[in-house]
Amino acid sequence: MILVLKHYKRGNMTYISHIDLLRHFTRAFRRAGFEIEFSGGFNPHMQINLGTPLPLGISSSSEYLTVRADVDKDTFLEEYNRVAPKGLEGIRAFAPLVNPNVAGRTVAADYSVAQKGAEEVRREIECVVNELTFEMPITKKGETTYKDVAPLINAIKVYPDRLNVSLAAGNTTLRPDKFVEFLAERYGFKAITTDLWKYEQYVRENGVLLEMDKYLERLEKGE
Amino acid sequence: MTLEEILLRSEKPARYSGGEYNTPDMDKPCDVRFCICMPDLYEVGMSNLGLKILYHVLNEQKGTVCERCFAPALDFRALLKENDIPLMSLETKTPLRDFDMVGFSVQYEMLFTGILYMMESAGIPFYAKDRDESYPIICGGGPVAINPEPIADFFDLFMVGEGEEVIVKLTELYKKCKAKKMKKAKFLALAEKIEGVYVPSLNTPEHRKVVKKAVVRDFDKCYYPTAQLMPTLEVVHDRAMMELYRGCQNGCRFCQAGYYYRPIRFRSEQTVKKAIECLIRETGFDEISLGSLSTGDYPYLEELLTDINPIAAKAHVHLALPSLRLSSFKKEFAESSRKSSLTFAPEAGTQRLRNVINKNVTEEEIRTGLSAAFDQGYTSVKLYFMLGLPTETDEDLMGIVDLVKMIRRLYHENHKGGVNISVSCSVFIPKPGTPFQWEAQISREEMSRKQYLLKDELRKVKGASFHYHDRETSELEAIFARGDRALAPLIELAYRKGAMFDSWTEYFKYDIWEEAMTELHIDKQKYLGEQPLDKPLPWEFIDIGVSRSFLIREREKAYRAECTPGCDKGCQGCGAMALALCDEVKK
Repeated sequence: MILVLKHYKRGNMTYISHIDLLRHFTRAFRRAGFEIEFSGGFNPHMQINLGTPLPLGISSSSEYLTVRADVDKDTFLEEYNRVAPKGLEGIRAFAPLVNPNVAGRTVAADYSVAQKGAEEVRREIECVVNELTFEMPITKKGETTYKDVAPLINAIKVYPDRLNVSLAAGNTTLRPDKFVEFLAERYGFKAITTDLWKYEQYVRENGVLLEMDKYLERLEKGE
Repeated sequence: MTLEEILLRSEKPARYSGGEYNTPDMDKPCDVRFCICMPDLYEVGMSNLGLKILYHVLNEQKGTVCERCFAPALDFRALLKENDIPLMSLETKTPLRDFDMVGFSVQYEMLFTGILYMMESAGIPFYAKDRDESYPIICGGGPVAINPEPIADFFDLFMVGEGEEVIVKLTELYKKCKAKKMKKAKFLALAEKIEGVYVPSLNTPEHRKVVKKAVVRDFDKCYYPTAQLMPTLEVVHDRAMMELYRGCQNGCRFCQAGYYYRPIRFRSEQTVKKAIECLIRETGFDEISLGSLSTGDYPYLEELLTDINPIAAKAHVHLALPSLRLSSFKKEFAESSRKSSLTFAPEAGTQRLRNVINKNVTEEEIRTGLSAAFDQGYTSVKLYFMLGLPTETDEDLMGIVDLVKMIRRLYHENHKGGVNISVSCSVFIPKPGTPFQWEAQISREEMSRKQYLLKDELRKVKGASFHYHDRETSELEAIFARGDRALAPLIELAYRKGAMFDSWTEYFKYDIWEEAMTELHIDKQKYLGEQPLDKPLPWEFIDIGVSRSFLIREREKAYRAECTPGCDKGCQGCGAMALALCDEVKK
């Protein structure tokens, strides 16, 4: 049976890398006693498909992983939570009838960051989403290039003390921490990136964004 | 900067964030807070079994909380310093100096500067005499406690021998003293009465009491943690560990562990089996290592493997058998483990030299063992040797080359394709507590000559590769292994000049050490040369249970290239029986 686990990545666990996250799950599933499907070959390993990697330091209440195991989804969630490390607790389990390909289908994600002073420049910040081009410096391996990120910005909204952004995630990703830091520098406010949450992620269905949970619910019904 | 910001700026924040699965309750009411420190990075420290045992045994005690702290990497240390944050524990982020007791587990001599590095990062004065009542009790332990003298002045007390029982006695004593608001000096005077505790300030090199090492008498029933901490990032030994037994029957004359951990005490097959089942359930590791000083000599190994192999296979858990001796290598063991590479340690190239060091393995046994392994499908062999052993000649070195050639021929007798033979040579370091504790270490020039001789000869053998240890590191390790109290200022000066992480080749700077020795007029030859038999050695006040006369007898037998049979062949009378009943005798 295909199972998708929606889980948190928060607290101390925001500091662990994607590969270490994978190690955590193989160990937790073994503790839970699940019979997860293994790969074949010389060096068999537990087959776990993680979603898109989350940069270090960002918390999330919207992470997904996929496995095949002989256990119903309620037991899966309950037993996993019995042995889950603090910060990687399960939120919900899905049993889609087909492989959901979460990492491949993800196109966007919503983030929320704590801020100070953005309300005074709210209009300017929120108008960025209307720009046809929006150049931002991207530093990779010590080399800085300017990139037009306008197509990667879906929405920006300023709230008291917080700034919410919806950005491309998946095959093409705009890093939320870098983006809000750039906005903060440009518009003169403070973005507190140690308090940055990912709270939703999306697939694209018939040209519109659909929340991951809704997409998985449809797959459970075989739609 | 907040701690979160500092973490995000560091190279690997998971080293410092804590929150591992199986972390015990840190908020329980407690009378004593202990912090175990490892003067090395998280990845190395978290691989240590001793740390796991002591950490969990302390947290099991009512009213005791134990936390951990590892040496910060240089980038994180710089960030802490910049922001004026003292070094703190992993679990509750409490500064080290706010603990009741801080214990350094020192695995070997090259970590000495790491102790000072951590103390300085925590704002704790190096010397015990400079610390008033406001500072925690600084304890030391681990294998170097067999000769604590070079670092004695930095510590309030040492735990000598096996720590799991003595550390509980110490913390219990601390609770009582704390309740009565006793001064540090009074506590130390009482602590000294506990078997296995050494208080440097109450002993001078001229007047000192004998310190008997601590020994776990009922090893089968003694505490063993199965809900072991799960590291948050990949560590050096990323697996669960099951300790099968303590001590070793073989009596190799160079081996400190073989003498230090006497007498032999086995865990029963049932105890081990139960613990392994718990380890699978409670950790979820995909590998469990069946550890000991010589796993092939565990008397119940075969029945144990028969019992647990199906359980492990069902859970997709690999059982690793480290420390196998060639003579104990059996077909069944090879079958139960993954066929990657085989590692054996003949230690010396000729039978004569193997007899000198009492490494009871013959060429015939090497032949039989390896041919069984090759038939099992192994194509890679790793061999460990030592250079500079007492009485060694060039003929013995050529013996290594001949052995490699023999192994290659053996492989090609029945197998096609290539075989990889990797030869690793460390340098012999005369270690306290062994029959070779009086021996000289060869000079660096001689090490170099021997290494190049082997390198040139092994280059001619197809499929062989040669690795050797750094000469400067080996020399420094030898100086500290047999050091005395005069070396504490050297460690301090070298640290102040920039020596740290000496066990990491990329950080090791020998010129700093040489400069510091010259400045302090320390004659290294005093430590490296042969030590006179008629004078007590600086560490001889530590009683490891093995008598001096036995060590001398063994040394004389070494010169005659005479072997001493293993303890399983009958008691050799080393004296350790007085500490606890040796299980070899019980059998």
